[in-house]
Amino acid sequence: MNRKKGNSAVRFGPALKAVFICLVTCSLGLGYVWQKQQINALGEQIKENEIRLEELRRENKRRGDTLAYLMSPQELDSRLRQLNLDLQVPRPEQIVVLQETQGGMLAEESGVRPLRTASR
Amino acid sequence: MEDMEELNNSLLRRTAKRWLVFFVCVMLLSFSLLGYRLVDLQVLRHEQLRETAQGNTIRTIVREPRRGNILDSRGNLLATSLFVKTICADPSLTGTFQPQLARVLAPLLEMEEQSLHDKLMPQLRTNSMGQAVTNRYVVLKRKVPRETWEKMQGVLAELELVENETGLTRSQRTYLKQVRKSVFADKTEDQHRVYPGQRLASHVLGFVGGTDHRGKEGIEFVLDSRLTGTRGWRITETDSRKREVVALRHQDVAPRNGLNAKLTLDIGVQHIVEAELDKAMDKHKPQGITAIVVQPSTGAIVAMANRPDFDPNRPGEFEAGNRRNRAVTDTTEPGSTFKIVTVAAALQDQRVTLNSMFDCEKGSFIYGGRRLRDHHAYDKLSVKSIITKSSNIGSAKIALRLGAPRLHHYIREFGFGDRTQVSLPGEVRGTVHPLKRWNSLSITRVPMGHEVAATPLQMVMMMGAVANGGNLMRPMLIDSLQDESGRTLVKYHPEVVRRVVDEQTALKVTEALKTVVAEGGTARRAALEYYSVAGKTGTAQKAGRGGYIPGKYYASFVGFFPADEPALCVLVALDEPTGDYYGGLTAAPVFKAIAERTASYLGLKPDLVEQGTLVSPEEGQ
Repeated sequence: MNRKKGNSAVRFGPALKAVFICLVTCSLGLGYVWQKQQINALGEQIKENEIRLEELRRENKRRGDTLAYLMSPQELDSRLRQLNLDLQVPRPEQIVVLQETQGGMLAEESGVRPLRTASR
Repeated sequence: MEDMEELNNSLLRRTAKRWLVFFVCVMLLSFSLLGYRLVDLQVLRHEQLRETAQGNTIRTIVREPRRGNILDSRGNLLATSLFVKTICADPSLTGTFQPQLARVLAPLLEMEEQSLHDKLMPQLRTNSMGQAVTNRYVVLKRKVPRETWEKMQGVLAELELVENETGLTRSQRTYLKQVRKSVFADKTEDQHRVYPGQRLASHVLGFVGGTDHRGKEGIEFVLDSRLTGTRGWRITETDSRKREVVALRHQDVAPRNGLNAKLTLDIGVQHIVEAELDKAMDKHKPQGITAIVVQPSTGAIVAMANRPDFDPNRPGEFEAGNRRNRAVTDTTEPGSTFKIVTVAAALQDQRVTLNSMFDCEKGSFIYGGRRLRDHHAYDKLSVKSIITKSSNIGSAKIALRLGAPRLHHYIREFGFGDRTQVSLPGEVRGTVHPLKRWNSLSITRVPMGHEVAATPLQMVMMMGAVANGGNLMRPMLIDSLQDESGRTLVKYHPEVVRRVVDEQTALKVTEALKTVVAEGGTARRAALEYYSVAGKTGTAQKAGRGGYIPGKYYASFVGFFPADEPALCVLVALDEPTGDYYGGLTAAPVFKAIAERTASYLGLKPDLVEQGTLVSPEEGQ
């Protein structure tokens, strides 16, 4: 009868509450640690990406500088001599003017500058 | 019996109580000590310990900005900067392994092995406390490329300092690890300035120098503050292995790289000019040559070169004289090219017309008790012919008709005696004596370019004013300043200094100047096949301390083309050419070569010849 009334019966409520609180506390703790670990992992990724970005920038710069060097007039001149291509500057009478049309108009009429090209 | 048992129990309880009290006291004392220690660490020594802790973990990293590039008008790279390393060593860690380290590192650092060995040897010195200490920081080499440093790291890692290293004890291996780490790269990044064109436009670009990487000459000097940029920094924390903990970055301020400077120079024209100057140096062997190419309508300097020159990648290997930009720092009496000023002034004041006739006294004219001569005995010449033949007597007589005050006025108006304000360091004013210091002969000497001194830049800008319808332009060398992405932040515009003569006068002067390269003129060799040219030769005897120096001349030619629609104005000046010394024989052919190649390179429309057949697209197909 007393048991039914519950005075001395086993009460699960508080136990469950305690377990729940423990679980929540543990979860929060684990979550905190996991988050910290994620932050560190992301930090490492950021660092790696920064280094990679810097390397790419450096490589880009190096290639740009090489391109600038290869395109420099002295380099082009020396290559021309080396390859013996016998290229010469065209004389004005060798330059053919092609008329660019714009809506059927002649270049001069349309005010467009004629395209100039060279012929040998 | 029960009493005895009770007594024993009582004694035990008392003993236990005593022990309990004792332990409680010990615990209290311990906790008190711990508490005191806690207060000591956290409160009393807080500041000191915090600094120590931060010193162990917090790092401040200076982030160096990259110096801006210098580009030509087409965006070609003229100067750029690379991040490089300063290689250092801690001699106290090298032990007895200096020979091995020097042997493997010397080829990579391009140093003498012995010199490197000496640097790696520990040096003992006595400090201010009287203690003997070893040097712990020595710079082995500056401006080492990153690639070289990476190779060095690989070589050091694989360097076999002793045989069978794996058989050593842990402490011995740690020691060898330290030896390998005795050579390191300084954390502060250094920069190395690279000029891909090497000697190209060296006088305009200048160079950088010193450990602070600052501009010393040329554009590098003038735009130093804009090119340098602003440092950034990063305050961060490191772990026990000295690796950065990104999550604990306190401050991260990115550096602001220097601005890129876009110049008005055209690398193609510059190359043409320099190639022709080299040929002229070989042919005439002068002390120096200067050439300047300017756009008359804007004052933009398209090319500027001098010989002798230098390589800005290694300026220290050249004499100081080679680094001087003669175009703005050197003045000479310009000679006959100055007659343009006299004629333009007289035409502007309507004291003469192109057809006004002057008696040139058959080549000998006495004025103020001194004789003035012409190279040829001319009788009567028109103003136009005076320019064509470059008659000294004729120009003196024009000046006499104009009067000294008006001549002086126009000389100043054309910019002589003032800096042109070009963006280059070391520019000089030249010499134009005040009118009150002119003597009785000055009015006959100044018109032919004596008693005045001008820089080559002043001369070309004067000619540019004639080509530009009488408007004197400020020489322009910097087109714009751009950020890293190529966005223009500052744009410089052409600037008219003043109108010196009106357009009609400029046209008349041009008409006279066109005859100089025609039959009977002094500069037939400057005439171009496809373009009309207007120009003037100059051959001035060089002045020294005791007067004019025999056999030493300054030969020049300044002209523009196409004469009626001037696109470019070119000056060529040879300082003390050997053999031929007339401007028409030495400078004029150089002008012609530069003009022909430049016109073709820039695709200027010829005005003396029809181009190839005009074809329609249909015919072209």
